[in-house]
Amino acid sequence: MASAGSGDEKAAAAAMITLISSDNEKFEVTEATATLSQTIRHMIEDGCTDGGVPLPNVTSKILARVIEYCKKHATAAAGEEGSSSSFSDAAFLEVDRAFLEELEEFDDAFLEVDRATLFDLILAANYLDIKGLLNLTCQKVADSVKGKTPEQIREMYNIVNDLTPEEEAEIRRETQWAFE
Amino acid sequence: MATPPPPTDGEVDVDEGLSLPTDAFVEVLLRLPPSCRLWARLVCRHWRDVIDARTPRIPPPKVLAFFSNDKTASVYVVDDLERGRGREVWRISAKESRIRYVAAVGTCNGLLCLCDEDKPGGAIALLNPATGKTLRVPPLPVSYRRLYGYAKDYAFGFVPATGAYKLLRVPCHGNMTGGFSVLQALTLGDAAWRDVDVAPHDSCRFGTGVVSVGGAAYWVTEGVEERVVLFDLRDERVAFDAPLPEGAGPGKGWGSHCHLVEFHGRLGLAVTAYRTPADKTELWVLGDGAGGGAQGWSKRYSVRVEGVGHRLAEPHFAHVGEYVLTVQSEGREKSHLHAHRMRDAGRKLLSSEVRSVRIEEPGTALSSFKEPGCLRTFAYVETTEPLSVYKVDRWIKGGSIRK
Repeated sequence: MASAGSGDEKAAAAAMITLISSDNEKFEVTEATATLSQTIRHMIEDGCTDGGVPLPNVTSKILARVIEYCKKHATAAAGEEGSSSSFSDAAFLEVDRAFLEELEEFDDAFLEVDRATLFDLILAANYLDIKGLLNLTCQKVADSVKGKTPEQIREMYNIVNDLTPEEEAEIRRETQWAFE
Repeated sequence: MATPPPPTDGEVDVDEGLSLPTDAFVEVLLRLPPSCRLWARLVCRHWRDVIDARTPRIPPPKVLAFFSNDKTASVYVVDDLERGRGREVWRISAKESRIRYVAAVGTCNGLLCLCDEDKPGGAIALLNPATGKTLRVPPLPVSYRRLYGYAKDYAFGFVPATGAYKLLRVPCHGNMTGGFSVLQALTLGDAAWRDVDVAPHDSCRFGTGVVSVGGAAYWVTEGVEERVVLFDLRDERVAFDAPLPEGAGPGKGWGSHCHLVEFHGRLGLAVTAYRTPADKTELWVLGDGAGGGAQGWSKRYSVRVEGVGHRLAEPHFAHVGEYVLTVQSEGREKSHLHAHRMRDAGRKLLSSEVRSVRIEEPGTALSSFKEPGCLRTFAYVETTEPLSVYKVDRWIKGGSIRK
């Protein structure tokens, strides 16, 4: 799969794009890295990137992390659409295990951030439409919720339960039925 | 716009709850298993409203047919039972892989549990047919690996209270020595199987199967008085056992066949008597009776298959209370899966009512399979839940948030 796309990758690598964070910091990245973001890809296609791409919703701190992610995964993508999509097929197919493992290790390390940063990354991934990053970060939050009781979830995220006892009973009834 | 205000550093107050914009919050919710998402509606009004408005309703289950022989294994999902429309969603051939004989253990929350019976003790893997992703599960400890493995020794279940998936291995084949006193259990994401002590001389009748329903696994014991055993997957202990329905034991009656099955979130026992001119199957359900006692059986279905050369599909044959699934063999070459809409489908049964079903027409053809091979049917809910989070090295390293 690498052979078909690598020529294009090299050509794309020549073109550089400037991204401008909300605090006016400029980041030079290759087009291959930038186009992991569908939002930026569309801007490039529309020819709206001269003089840099302003990203008023993303701070320099978060943008630096996002670019770090895109760089790693742009090298990885090499012809593959999206990004981190087919980790576990390797279990049966044994394709390129070492490489996929390295990418997973990168992703794991990448997620070692505090909750505020994680949420900012989700916002950035959502705004920039970076599928792989959105998947990675949202999954991390989903995992924190999974297997928790509603009370534990409220505690973890400081959520006030504003359901009336009647509403709660109704939800419990509906939920029970769903499994019968 | 002149000078933009000094940017905030992204340091939002951590204590403001799950302060994500709705679009991003929906992305998170979509990555929860369907069952988790349902329970998460209890957190607060906002969560309930977003889940109701922005995430798909849990649709009624579809039929999943798993077919395998020594050359290939494939998964077929039926999207429309009425018109017989479906699609093959996964296939693996022995030539391309090192897989030799894959059998299906069961489905749970849209994940299919597979067992490569050719590997010592049976190598377990999970498949999400919706995404095509697979996950290999750590192998059994060496001491338990026999020459082959049997899918029917395993159960795959979900514990709603903890959100954990569990695999259980009940050594039905250890029965020659008079039973077993140890089972093996694995929580998905753990690196190794654990031994679980059970009452000495416990036993498991092989052909009846081990079935997981609603956070428990069930099997039927061997011996003079056959009983059904409930093993609580959360506490990992035998919670109770109960006698089989009167006159329905596997050993009762010559030429009959008996298997455990999930039936609408409850345990079912299907007892088939092969007779001429008609095969007759009775489906008993545990804890569904008028009294509501967990240990009582009640008969819900009585199915007669007559004159059409069909037999009931196994193990899942009574689908969403509207369809009965059958298999028709065409010579020794081919088999066809059929669906039969029940005559009074949709009508809710009274608590003591037995639904009487007659299969005398061919019904709707769903899909064909090349014989010889093994065809098994299951209920299936599509889910995008990823399997990669259960990879063992990830679990150990990324353990901080997943307490």
